Amino acid sequence: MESGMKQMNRPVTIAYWLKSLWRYKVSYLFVLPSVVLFAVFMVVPLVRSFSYSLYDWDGITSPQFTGWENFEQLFRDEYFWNALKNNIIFTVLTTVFTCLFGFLFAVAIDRRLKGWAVFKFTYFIPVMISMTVVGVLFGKILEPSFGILNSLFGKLGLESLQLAWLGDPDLALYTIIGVTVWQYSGFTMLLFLAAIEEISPEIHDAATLDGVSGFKRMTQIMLPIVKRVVFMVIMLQIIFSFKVFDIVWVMTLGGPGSASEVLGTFLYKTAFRSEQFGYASSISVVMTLIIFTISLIYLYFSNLGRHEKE
Amino acid sequence: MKKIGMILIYAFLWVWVVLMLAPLLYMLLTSFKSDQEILNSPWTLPHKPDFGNYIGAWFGKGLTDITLGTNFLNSIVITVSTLVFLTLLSTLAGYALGRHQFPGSKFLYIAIIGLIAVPVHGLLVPIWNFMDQMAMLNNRLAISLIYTAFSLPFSIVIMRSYFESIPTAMEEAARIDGCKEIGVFWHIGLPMAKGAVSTVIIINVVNIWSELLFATVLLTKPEVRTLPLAISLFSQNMYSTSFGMLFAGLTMATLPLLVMYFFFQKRIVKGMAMGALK
Amino acid sequence: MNKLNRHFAAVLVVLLVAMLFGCAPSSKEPKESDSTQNDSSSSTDASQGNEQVELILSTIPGPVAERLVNDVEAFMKENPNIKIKINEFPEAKYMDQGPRLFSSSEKPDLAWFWADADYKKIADAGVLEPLDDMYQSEGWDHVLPQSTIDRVRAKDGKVYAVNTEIVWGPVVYYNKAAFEKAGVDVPKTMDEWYQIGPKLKEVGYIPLVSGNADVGVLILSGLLANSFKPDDYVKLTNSEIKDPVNNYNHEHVVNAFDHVKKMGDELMQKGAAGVNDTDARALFTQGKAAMYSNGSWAASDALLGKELPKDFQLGYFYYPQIYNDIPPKVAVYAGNSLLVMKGTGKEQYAKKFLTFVMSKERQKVLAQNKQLFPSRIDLSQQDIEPMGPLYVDMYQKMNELGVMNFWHTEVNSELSTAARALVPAVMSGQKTPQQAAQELQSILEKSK
Repeated sequence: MESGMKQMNRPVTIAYWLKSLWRYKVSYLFVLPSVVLFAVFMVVPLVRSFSYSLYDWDGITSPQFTGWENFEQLFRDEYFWNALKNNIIFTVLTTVFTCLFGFLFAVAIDRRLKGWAVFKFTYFIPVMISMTVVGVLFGKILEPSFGILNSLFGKLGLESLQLAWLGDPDLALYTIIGVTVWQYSGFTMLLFLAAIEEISPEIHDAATLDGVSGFKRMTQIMLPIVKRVVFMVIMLQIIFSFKVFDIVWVMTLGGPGSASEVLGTFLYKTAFRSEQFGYASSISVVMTLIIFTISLIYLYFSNLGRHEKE
Repeated sequence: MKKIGMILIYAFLWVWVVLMLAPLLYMLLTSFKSDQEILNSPWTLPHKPDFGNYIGAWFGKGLTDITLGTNFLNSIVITVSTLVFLTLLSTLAGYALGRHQFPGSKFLYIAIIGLIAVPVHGLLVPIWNFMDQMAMLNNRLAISLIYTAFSLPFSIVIMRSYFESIPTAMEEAARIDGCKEIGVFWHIGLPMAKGAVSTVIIINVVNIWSELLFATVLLTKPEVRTLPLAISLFSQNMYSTSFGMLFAGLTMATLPLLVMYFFFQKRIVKGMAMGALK
Repeated sequence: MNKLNRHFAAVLVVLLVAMLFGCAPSSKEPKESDSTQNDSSSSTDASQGNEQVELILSTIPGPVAERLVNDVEAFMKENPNIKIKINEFPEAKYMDQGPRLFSSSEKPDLAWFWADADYKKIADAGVLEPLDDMYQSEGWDHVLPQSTIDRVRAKDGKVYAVNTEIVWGPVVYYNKAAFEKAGVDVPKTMDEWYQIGPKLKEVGYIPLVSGNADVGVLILSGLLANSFKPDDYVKLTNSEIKDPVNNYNHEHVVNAFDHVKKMGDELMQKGAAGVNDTDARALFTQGKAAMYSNGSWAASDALLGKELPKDFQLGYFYYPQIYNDIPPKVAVYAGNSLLVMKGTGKEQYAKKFLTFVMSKERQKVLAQNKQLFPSRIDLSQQDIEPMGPLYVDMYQKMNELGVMNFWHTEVNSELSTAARALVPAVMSGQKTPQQAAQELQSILEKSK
């Protein structure tokens, strides 16, 4: 590894900074366009929206400063806690099942079970379909009175399974989770597959020699080796599923009532339906902080993981 | 015992194959049916393939000269340019962060990871205001840049990770031969990163193509709307109960990406394998 | 090889960027022959009437758009130098984004919009062109009811919109054949309504469908209109009733929510709380449901008129009586309006279009096209007849019963937004009627 500059003992003067700027000008140039885009489209709007959260604003008339009131109101708002609860349920279940299924699929493909090429091809197809299409399509499939799922159950005589998948407040969220798992298991599968395929065949040969069976092999040999990738994929899924909006919005609008409300839909409704931008911005602030914390945890553990490998 | 286990496993796998394909098949078949058929006989094959739904969905209601073809073109322009920007910027930044040591690189990297955390729908209002002030609403280049910004953090992480993990021998050689940094990057670093670039593209293309929230808010004119946006407006139109046309629209919105998938399938897997996971 | 790739990539990028820049803001489509008139910069060459002018009109789809398309086509024939493009937005999105759109750099020149609380906000913000002079010069102040005109008055006393059609409801459309088969009659009271449910189910129909997920609040408004005497009702929408408790905790409001739940449980299908209007109407037109609750606009040719099979026998009735001492009424909304945006430089042309749409001739044509009901009150029975026997009968019955405003269009947007979610919530059992009423009350108290 190249040795970096040991910056510990240099005097931190302006001259020093200017010299560094010039010396590393190529590096800075490389990152400049990205930094500019970030600043303009992410950092500045983020700061702006943080500042909105201190006001009471309806988007048209002039804003009124209210300080922490929005946050106080937020933590007393039952709809917020409901959305947060749903969000957590969604994140946990989606992550668990997409990672679980993804891993199982990857192992099946790697171990070349019969039909593995079909699996590899098919499982990834739903990933390539936009969330909106998936949402609308499944909305029609799950329609309680004429959707094909319930009519299939009817034909099979399973009337008791003809549920109101999206209309029953107890079911709606889980239905959406199911659809998301349907769509993204192929995504995690591919990430896991890449890692699993890297496992050297010698290890597998040794395992076969020792007579290690499939299940044991998967959990006690393969899993530990790809632990780091697994960890990363899990964390990624957590972060991405926490931000969910599209699929819930298209399928239920967060309903019925607020049975499937998540933070993303709650934010949108507050901002644009009830026109409380200040309040909505406070939701945005809280969301960002939560996800940021999760990212930090990931960073912390992944660094740890790196050291462990070494 | 083991046999039963294997049977269960195979059953599980094949059931999933059916589960994943069935809804798509349903979408395709239904798009060819008339509305009566859809509600009354959802299970049969269409009586005769009725392209009327496709024609209806393509031309819209004939209120304007905008057809789905226009929207399709918009989507392509926006997606392709976003991907181009994304590739360029993420490889540049990833390379610098992964290869060069410069003051602030660690800080920048952590900041970038932090940006992955930002829930972008919270940025909707400030960005809308900003675009409005700059009179850049309905500007496809602007929305391209916005998408690029949103996709950059994760892509940079991937690229940096990749660049960190590949050997530096060739680059050292190039430098000794007198190549400037940019040359090293362009002639050696970039070509070597083809796999990771594929990964970045694959991971982001679906999200960019089908992005809805910002497209809905920022693209108000019909002539600049993207394809998924047009389809979603169609489906939200509570005044139209033509499911057949809706499904035709859905199919048309899906096809481009699926076609892309079929063609690049090998690349995808290779890309993911070479990628980022190291 | 490398050089080739590099050059190719460079060319590709340049091409793309050029394409984007070339098709920036006011994009031109190859097929259309017009120019880039869509900026909001102040007057270009709008002085003479001979110059080519293009206007953008934003609206929601459905009967409203169909009607505007008719008017636009006819208008453009008479005024070949004015071109109007219609820009449709889905209803929910338009409601959410409309006010912002109208004050942005991408604002249309003309807009169809609802004259409710949001409208007042943008009128007060100075975004719209005042129309007082037109009310006088065109005589609109004589052919529109005073209440309608007052509705569109802003804080500064000026009016910024003109009502182009009236709608009313809720209306329960029903399948006459289904009723015959089940041997039931049109219910006069809520109890009777619940009683016909089982009979309809027996002969294989879902008794009632409605778009609860998106327009469920109509049901609530209808029930509330039948829960209070007219004076008390006005007080309710103005938040003035003082009962032993206070406003929305009034027992009639709680009962209204009770009925919402009961209707869902006894008359609608499983999961009805999550069904949207399109799917609900599809069930009705395909003969799977016997009754469909919506508003008067559903009877227009753009909707039921077009979607029902030719041999369908369509009937209707208004929400039945709830309390013995409160005769049922119909809720009406005279807020569908056209607005003109200020500062586009094309206001005079936009106003010309308004004159056209509001003229007696065009309002007669509106009736002939069977889309929506004209807003002018100086049309004769003959003029209205082309709307069809059902529509005309609905109109007459409505006048007989007497009208009040829709609850959800009179109260502030926070209340109506909350109600929109409360109806499916109560129907699906997430909230009790008491909780729902209490929530409305809390919102009211907070906003005072």
